[in-house]
Amino acid sequence: METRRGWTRRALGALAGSVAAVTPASAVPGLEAAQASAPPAGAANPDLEAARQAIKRNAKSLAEAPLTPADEPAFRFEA
Amino acid sequence: MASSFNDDLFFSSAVELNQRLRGREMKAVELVRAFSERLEKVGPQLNALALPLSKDAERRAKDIDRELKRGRTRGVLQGIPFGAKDLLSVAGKKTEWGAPPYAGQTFDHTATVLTKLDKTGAILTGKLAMIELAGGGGYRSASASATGPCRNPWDPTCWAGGSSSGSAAAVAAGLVPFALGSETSGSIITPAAFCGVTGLRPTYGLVSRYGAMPLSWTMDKIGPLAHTAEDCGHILAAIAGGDDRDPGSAGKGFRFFPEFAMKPPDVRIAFSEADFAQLADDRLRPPMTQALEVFRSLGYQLKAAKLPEFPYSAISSTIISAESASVFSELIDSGRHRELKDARQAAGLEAASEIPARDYLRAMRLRRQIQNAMAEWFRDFDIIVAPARYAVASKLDVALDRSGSAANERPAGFRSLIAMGNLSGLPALCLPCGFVDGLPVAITLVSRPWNENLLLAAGIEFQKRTTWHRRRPDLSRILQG
Repeated sequence: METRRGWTRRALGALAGSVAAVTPASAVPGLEAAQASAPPAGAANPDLEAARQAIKRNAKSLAEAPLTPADEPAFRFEA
Repeated sequence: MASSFNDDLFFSSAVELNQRLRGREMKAVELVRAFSERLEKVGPQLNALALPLSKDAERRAKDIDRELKRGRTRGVLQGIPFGAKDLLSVAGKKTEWGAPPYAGQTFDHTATVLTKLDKTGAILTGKLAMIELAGGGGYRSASASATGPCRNPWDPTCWAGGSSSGSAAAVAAGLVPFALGSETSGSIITPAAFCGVTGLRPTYGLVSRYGAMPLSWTMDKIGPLAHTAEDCGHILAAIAGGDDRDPGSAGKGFRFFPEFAMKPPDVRIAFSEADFAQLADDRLRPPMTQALEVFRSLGYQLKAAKLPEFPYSAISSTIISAESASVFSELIDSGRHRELKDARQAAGLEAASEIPARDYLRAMRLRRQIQNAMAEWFRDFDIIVAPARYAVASKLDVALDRSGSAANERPAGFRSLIAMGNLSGLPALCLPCGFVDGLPVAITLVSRPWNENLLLAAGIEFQKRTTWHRRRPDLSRILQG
């Protein structure tokens, strides 16, 4: 089983291109800064593909973190 | 009258300004006129102003002057002008969320935080610029805002930070004594750090979000940006409190009593040696290390520590993305998300719509593990101190999704603090601690939930020993223009 340190490294990788940084701390290798509007629906969209890949990387990191059926979602957020 | 005020006034704290009002040194209407004039002159040049509200503000100021004349006092915010991030609605006024698809949008209700501030006598002089939709789709450029890239008052060729860009820039430039911003993941702490102002992210659920644009229901918080930690405490006391109209409200209030917080010899501050010894940007080490020494000299216990290991960023990104895709599902389905200024944002929202429920729930389950782990972790510590950001503000034309890549190769330290703190709903305070190449740098303090008084007490003591929060940017070129 992978250690949590391993997930952290992987998470840093996932951070590259993460979809919702809000304050951007992410990296999207190979993409240039662009102000242009998004391409029309159906056209090739490298931004969309990069965002999808980031989501996949995030999902992979999540899948590698151990959970048991007893681990319920957080529905209250204050301690 | 307004032009007779000097710079000291524009960089005074709310507490100091209120003393002058109560001492009859000036009238609230004069103060509001002076700040409004400055906001409307400098604000557009910094791309910090979304909507001026000077006429309404002046009317309100006249009411306040009548109250003060009658001897009715409402506390330290009475008669103090302020600005609000343009994701907070004011009934009948444009609230455009920084996003072209929402141009001209109005609501028939006013955000709870603004109603609460109005009751204290604080006077809203303008709506302030923000990254479109608070950056929920993931943005690549400082230009991801309907008002253009928000310029940093310390160097207008640099970015003010986001997403509460205008709030931080306006306080730093002395256009308002304080402002409200919001944070889902870094949006108060980052612009506060880049602009050299004090920013407070409250515990999740302490401040009502009713009337605020939602981005991520389980992560959004509203908080103040001001010149001092003391002002932040007074503002938080005014805006905190339960609200049935906000499902995330914890039903708790906040009383600002820093004097009753735990005293330094008993307070255990955790820091990561990697953060202070191996920072990404070597130039940041001296001010960061000096900030740590200030806390040591104040008598706080400093202890090296590290966070429990979790894939914080993946969890945070998944939750924010999934929730924001739901929040903006109508926008996405209509195709109008393509009108956003930053194509990366549009693509991010679109892709986020495809996140499976299974992944979202897995992230929320891991989030609970984090919360439990941090509750345990905080048995040994009371405050975390770390660099607020690991670099100074970037140039306006730098791709934001590239600027952090070199930093990620360095040791982690508390680099996950923003993601961890927001996932756990923890309060945070950003304190300016120096300058590098003329740009501000800052530290951030984080504590356990509801421990704002401890953070603010530490911030007040820090600011008694330092003057970084009192520095002023040179705006002479802009003001003469």
